[in-house]
Amino acid sequence: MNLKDMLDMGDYGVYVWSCYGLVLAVLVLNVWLGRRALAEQVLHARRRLKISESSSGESSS
Amino acid sequence: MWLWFHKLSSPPYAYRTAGLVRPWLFWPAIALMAIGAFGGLVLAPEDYQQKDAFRIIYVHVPSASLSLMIYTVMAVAAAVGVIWRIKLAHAVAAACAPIGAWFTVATLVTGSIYGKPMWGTWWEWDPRLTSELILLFLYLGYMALRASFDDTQRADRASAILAIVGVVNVPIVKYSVVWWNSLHQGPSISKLAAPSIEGSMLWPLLIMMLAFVLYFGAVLCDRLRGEILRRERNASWLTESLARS
Repeated sequence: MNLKDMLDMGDYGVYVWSCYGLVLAVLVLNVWLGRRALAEQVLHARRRLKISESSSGESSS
Repeated sequence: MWLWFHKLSSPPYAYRTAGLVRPWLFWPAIALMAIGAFGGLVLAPEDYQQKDAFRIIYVHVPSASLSLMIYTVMAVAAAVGVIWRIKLAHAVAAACAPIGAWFTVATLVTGSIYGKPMWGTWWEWDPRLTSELILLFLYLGYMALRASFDDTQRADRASAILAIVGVVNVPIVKYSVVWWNSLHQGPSISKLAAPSIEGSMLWPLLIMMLAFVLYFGAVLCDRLRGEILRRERNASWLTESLARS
């Protein structure tokens, strides 16, 4: 199968490649969304800890 | 075994374990996807009826299987959370929902694109397609219900009930092509009979299905860790864990 045959997929190329493109986009998006949600929560947790550490430092001094 | 189960239900242990396990799921998933895609797009012969359009099954079928599997995992986790009051189980269910919803969308859209050249239509109110659409509504309903409660515990309980009741749709999707006259083709892979699909077409499909499952595991690890951090706001174990990461 050469590159032209691969892209044409026997005149079904638009259908086949749009499906593969869509699923690839879903796969990439899910990884990105998951990592982003985790990074956001890590940031919020660090901020909360910093606030509680600074407020406990003030109360003990 | 119960000791291991009990340990796994501890948020700090689950958080650390998910972080360790993730790369062992993600990279094999990527490798298997590359192998499966190559096998499906290049090595598998064309179908005598559907020609090269059949190659869509190598992304459509794994997406569909995963959408059903994720809902089942979500419902089981919700049930565990309700019955044994394990909060982490609710976190697992919450983490599953967006992933499952995306794969249901992928199933419906790739199915629609597949249907146009094969059936001459983008959509048909066929039992399989309709029940898969209902599955998407169940996922979206679950997420919307969770979001409507400020209190996490109440959100967990309400959404768990929806997830558990909605699981009845999973066998309906699966067996719709057997129970009713359906435009959608019947099952090609069965636990009880030899597959009706040719071997050279089957192996890339099985590899892609395995790859998608491993991929789900990896993405679930990330989502679950985020969900645990969101819930464990003031826990003392966070200090040490965040300092290390």
